[in-house]
Amino acid sequence: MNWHCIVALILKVGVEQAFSIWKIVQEHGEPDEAAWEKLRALSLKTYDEYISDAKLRASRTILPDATKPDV
Amino acid sequence: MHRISDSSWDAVRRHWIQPEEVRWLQEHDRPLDWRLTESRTGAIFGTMKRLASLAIAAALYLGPPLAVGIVVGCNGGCTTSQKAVAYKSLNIVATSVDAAMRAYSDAVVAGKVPQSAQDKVRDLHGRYSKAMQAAIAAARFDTSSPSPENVTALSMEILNVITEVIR
Repeated sequence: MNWHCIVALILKVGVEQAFSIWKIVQEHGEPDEAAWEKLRALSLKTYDEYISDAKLRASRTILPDATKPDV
Repeated sequence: MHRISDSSWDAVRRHWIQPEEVRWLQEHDRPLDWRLTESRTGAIFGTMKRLASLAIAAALYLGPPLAVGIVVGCNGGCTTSQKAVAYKSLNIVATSVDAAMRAYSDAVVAGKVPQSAQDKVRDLHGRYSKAMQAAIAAARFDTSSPSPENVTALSMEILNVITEVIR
């Protein structure tokens, strides 16, 4: 991946996502069994599991006024 | 049809290219050293390059926070094996869909997605998941077997629907 690909990617999706893609592209050598299993686990994730995870994330979200003392 | 020069015939002798392969290369208008830089079967490599293209299309089409793909493979001097290229391509598509699904599920929980769209994404994701599992199995255990084309179509469709829904 050359530098203008990286710059375009960062501009489009942000540093965090660009970094995760960059890591995949930069991997060298044959993928091991663990890597294949990780990919397989990602493909096995169901729709309901995504929704459950999102509910969990939402429940963990701290509202901006949560730290204010009750009046 | 690709014309074969005398120097190319040297390549035939040097690399022990079989006559059937020479005929195939001629019919497909490929130079004789094609198999040295591309895959021997060609099919899976072509599919994987299309998957990488899909990931690039996702990159250009989707905005943050959706994940994207970028060029996998190499331009000249490539030493990455066919299986590694297959793995990277599938990983980028899977990562892109995963990030899209995370953003989408957050929108569902926030009550921003109508039921009809949820039903559509549920159906698409189920089909995509099965196709991706088949593609992973094909790439992992049999590198000569091309990945199912429907992974490309389904992942693109699911990304399009999610983009429409959460925009």
